[in-house]
Parts: sequence; structure tokens; C-alpha cells
Amino acid sequence: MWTQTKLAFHKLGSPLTFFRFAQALIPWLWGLTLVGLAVGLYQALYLVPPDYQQGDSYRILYIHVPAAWQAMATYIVMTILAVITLVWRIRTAEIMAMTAAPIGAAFTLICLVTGAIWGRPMWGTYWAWDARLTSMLVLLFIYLGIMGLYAAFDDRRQGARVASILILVGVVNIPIIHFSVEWWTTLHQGSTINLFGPSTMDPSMLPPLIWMTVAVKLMFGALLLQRARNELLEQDQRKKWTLQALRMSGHDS
Amino acid sequence: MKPYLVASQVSFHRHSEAVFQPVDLNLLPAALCVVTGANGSGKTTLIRTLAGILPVSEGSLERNAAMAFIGHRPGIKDDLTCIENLSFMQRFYPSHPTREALGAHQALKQAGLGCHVRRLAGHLSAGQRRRLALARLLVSPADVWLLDEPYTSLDTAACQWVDGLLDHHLASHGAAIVTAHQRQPALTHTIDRLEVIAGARAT
Amino acid sequence: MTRSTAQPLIALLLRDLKRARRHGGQSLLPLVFLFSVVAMIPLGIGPGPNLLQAIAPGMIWVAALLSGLLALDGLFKSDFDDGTLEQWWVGEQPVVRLVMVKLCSHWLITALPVIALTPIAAQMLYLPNEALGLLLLTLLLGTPILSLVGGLASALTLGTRQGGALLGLLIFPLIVPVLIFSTGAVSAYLDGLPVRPYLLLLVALLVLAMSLVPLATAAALRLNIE
Repeated sequence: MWTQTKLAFHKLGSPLTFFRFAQALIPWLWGLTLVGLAVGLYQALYLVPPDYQQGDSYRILYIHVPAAWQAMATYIVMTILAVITLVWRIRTAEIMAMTAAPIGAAFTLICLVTGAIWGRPMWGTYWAWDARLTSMLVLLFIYLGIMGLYAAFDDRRQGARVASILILVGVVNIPIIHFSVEWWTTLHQGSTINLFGPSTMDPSMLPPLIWMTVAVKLMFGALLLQRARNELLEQDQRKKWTLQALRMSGHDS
Repeated sequence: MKPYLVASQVSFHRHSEAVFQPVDLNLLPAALCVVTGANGSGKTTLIRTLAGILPVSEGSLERNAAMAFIGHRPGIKDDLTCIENLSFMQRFYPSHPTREALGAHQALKQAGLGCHVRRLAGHLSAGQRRRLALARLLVSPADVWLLDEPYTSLDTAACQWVDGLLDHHLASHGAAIVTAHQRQPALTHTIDRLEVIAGARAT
Repeated sequence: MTRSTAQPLIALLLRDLKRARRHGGQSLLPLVFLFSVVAMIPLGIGPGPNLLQAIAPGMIWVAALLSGLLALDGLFKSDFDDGTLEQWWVGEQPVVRLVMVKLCSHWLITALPVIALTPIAAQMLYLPNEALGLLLLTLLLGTPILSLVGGLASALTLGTRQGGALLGLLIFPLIVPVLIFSTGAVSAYLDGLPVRPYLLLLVALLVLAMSLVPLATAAALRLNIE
């Protein structure tokens, strides 16, 4: 069983197999993403009634919350890929871990920006040193650190392995950072604003959130496979399999 | 006799490609193996792999003895004097208990640096630096010497000094692996040769 | 650890200290940095004792953090460039131990002088004398973590060309908890709140960092050697 999994693992790790896999999956992922976004956004913007306190401005949360979740989920995916990178040295895992970082950073940024836009009418300020906001900001810095470290190496594979260590160090640290920031905001009571407060969500507001969350997950999958595929092609542009792959997908030259 | 070092089908991969063709090597006591090969064939990479600095990508490597590796960059601090450098090496690198070790001053004298004891290593010439690096073999003796291009920038007298060191080392059941592409060791002992061939690189 | 295994470690520590003493600047630079920050803050925000006292622990901590960054660039770089570092994998000595020794020397060279002169800096910012002991305690517990995290960042960026620019970006997120708990302890004390939980958390962080960071650092060094 174990050897079989390992074999499948290595097989998927070969660039050509990965290329085929990605080519087959990407259109489906994008298609489903678009369906999910269409349904989710329609529900979020038209079907759901305005909030009795916040009016229409809360609707931005349908982007904000899925982005926040995806920002964290991306890190978990990267952690798994980093372990594979360091233990089995599988190249596609290296590339996927590294190409996931900018996507994670983008979702973190979307989360921070939408939060700021929402915060302006709600709290009267774009930025508050709230525990969640601060943690997200630190997460953004971790993503940027991983990207910067990877980019600083001339040798991409070496860079990917070294950055994988940083990913693992980060995963130990993120809970500690989150805890410490929460502690810090409770200490400085004056500046704390309760973000999601005790107000519970009306059940009718839930379906668009689920649609949007699923759509964002699918989008992440599509983006990740696409970016990883492109990075592989770029790094291996002079290798045999690349030609073979391009010929297969109809780019004959 | 138990070999000091056994390498079977050892190779090191960079960018998933072998840098050199797999190497088999059985290093017995009192043996000297000279590694030859064209520029870029992976001599330095091989000796660094055997030293344990680079991981073995394929094959197996068994090391049964204390080793001393001296490469292109031999770990000399420019802001310390010769004697400070050597005394540090003496204490930092383990010395094999059954082998006789010289004191740092004596070793410097042997290396022809007797009148530069308190000079900063940064002020030495390239040849003098190499002598200082090699003097480490006298203060912390090891069973196996791994020398990467030891003759580089040495004059004739110093090259002969290195040959003498190797001869003495082999006579006392030491072993050595030496990469050399210009001057070859001229010893009284027999020398094994190992030709390194560059790994197949996709173009 | 027997005497023969400890000897190389001691030799390494003494050599680093000797080189630092020879250059002098390595320990002086963090001090100059600390006092420039302490002297510039009142010039920037006004000399009011209440305000200065409130920000004193934070300022001293931030100055200590940034001054610790100054010497990090060369922590492994010099050994990497001249080939000393690759020797670590030739011998039998576990690399983690050698990493610990390097970090120890970094702490002695950069953090210890800063801690020693913190009482003067604290006076300049009107920190009450009762709180000084606590501030020193948090520095003693927190700066080793900075050395550990900084050593890791320095090891990660070793093989890059513009590593120095990355150091700050890598260290900042990892050091956030230390900064929060250390300055939080002093603030809590000034507000008359219990400080024990802060100190225990700092100790926990230190233990965690000491047990995990050297392993990651050794792995990062190894990858950079290849």
C-alpha cells in the first residue's frame, strides 16, 4: 500500500504526468469556479436582504471572508507541499509550494483591503489594530518573506528547498503569533473593536457564503495548477519533455 | 584490512542531473587515489561528496575513518595571525589519537612559515595561504586526507614538501584522495587513478 | 559531553569572540544604535516624562531588536565564504551544536553590551527604577530568541546575493510574539497588573525556540552549502 502510494506520488511528480494532469483539470476547475462565482455573487448582491444594522455594506464580507479562509488554507497546502519537498525532494511539489505563495499573498491582501473598505463605514477608520487584522498583516509578511527568499536564489530548486524550511518555521509560528496578538489586543482594551461580535448571522445569509467559499477554493486550485504548469514549462523550456508536452497540446513548433 | 572509505555507484545530482558518472572506490590504508578528469568533469564535486559536504544522491558511501578535507577555500581567517589560525584548527578539527601530532609552531616551521608566525593571514601570498592550510594536516592528523588541488599556487619546493607529507602519511597507513589536473603527485608509493567523467547533461 | 567533544566548541566560541574584539565595531555598533534611538525619540516627540516613560520599554526593545539585526549579516557569511562552514559536515561534531555556539557568540557580542547599558538608556527615557529590573529580565529572556531567529534568517539567506535586505522581512513576523510579551510585561507592571504570565510565556518561547530553531538553521545551512 505504502509503496504503491509512493510510486503514484513519484509518478505524479514527473513533469510530463503533472502537465497532462494539469491540462486536463484546469478547464474544469475554471468552469466550476465561474459557475460558483456567478451563483454566489448573484445571491450575495441581489437575493440576500440588507442587514438591519449595516445596510448593504456588509455584502463585501462575501468576498472578505472566503478570501481570509483561503489565505489561511493556502498556507496549510503550502505546508504539506513543503514537507513533500524536503522529505522526498519531488520537484513538482517544490514548484507548487512556491507558486502557491503569491496566490496566498494575494488572498491575504484581498482580505486586508476588503476589510479596510468595510471598516471605513463601520468603524469610521480604514485600519484598526484588531487581533485578526494584525495577524493577517503578519501573515502577509510571512508570505512576502517566502516569496522574497525564493526569488533571491539563482538556483530555483535550492531556493524552493530553503524557502520550504521557512514555510515550516512559519507554520509553527502562526498560531503563536495569533495567540500573542490576541493577548496584546486584550491588553490594550481602548483600541479594540469587536469585529464579528456576538451578532450571529441570519441563516438566509449563509448560502451565498458557502457558494463563494467553494468557488474561491476551486479558483485557488485552478490558479495553482496553472501557475505551477507555467513555471515548470519556463524552467524546463529546453528539456525534451517540454517539446513533447507542447506538441501534445497542439502548440507545434 | 578494513577500507577507510567505500563508495559504490556514488553520484551527486544537481538540478536532478548527475554531475559526474557514478563512482566506485575502495580506499584502503596506505593507498593514494588521484582523481583526474577534464575541467568541469566534477572532480571537486566528487571529493566534496566523499567528504560528506554534499549529500550522496544515489549509491552508498561508507566512511570508517576520521577525515580531513582541504578545498579551494580552506577556512583561513584573514583577520587572525598564522599561529592563531593554526591553533584554532588544531583545537577545532579532531586529531586521531594514534597519530602523532605536531605543535602549531613546529608545523608552521615545517610549512616554511616560521618567520610569519605573527603575521595576519590576510597579508600572506596565495602560496603561503595554501601552505598554512596544509599545515593543518600536521597539527590535527586524520586517517584520510581529501585534498582538492593541493598543488595550486605552490612553488616547486612546496610541491615537493606536499609530496613528502603524502609519502609519510602513506607510510604510516594513512590514505589520501587527491584531485590534480596539472602537477601530479610524485611519490615513492604506488598511486591509484580514478578518472571522473562528467554526468550526462541534457542540453 | 566529554572534554574532547567540547574542545572544538570552545575553540569556535573563543575564536569568534577574539575576532569581534579585534574589530571592536561589532559590539560598538549596536550600542551606538541603541543610544541614537534613545536620543532621537525625545527630540522627535518632545521631552515630556509621562509620554517617554510610557513608550520607554517599547523603544528600548525595538532598539535592541534592530541593533541585533546589524551583526546578523555576517554571522555565517564569513565562515561560508572562506570555507570554514563546509568543514562542519566533514567532522563528527553534530552541526546543531556548532550552530548553538555561533548563536551564543552572536548573543554575547551584540545583545549583552546592549543589556549592560540598558539601565542608562532607561534613565534617559524616565523609566521608573522599579521597572528596570523587569525590563532587563525580559531582555535576558527575549534577546536569545532574537539571536536564534536571526541566526535562522541569516542561514536561510546565506546563498543569496542580496541576503541582507531580506533579513528584516524574514525576522519581523517571527519576532512579533517576543516583542509583545516583553513590552507587555513591563507595561503590565507599570499598570500594577501581574507580570508572571508574560514571563512564563517568554520562557516557553525561549524553550521552544532553543529546541527547534537550531535544527531548522542546520538544515538551512546544509541546503545553502550544496
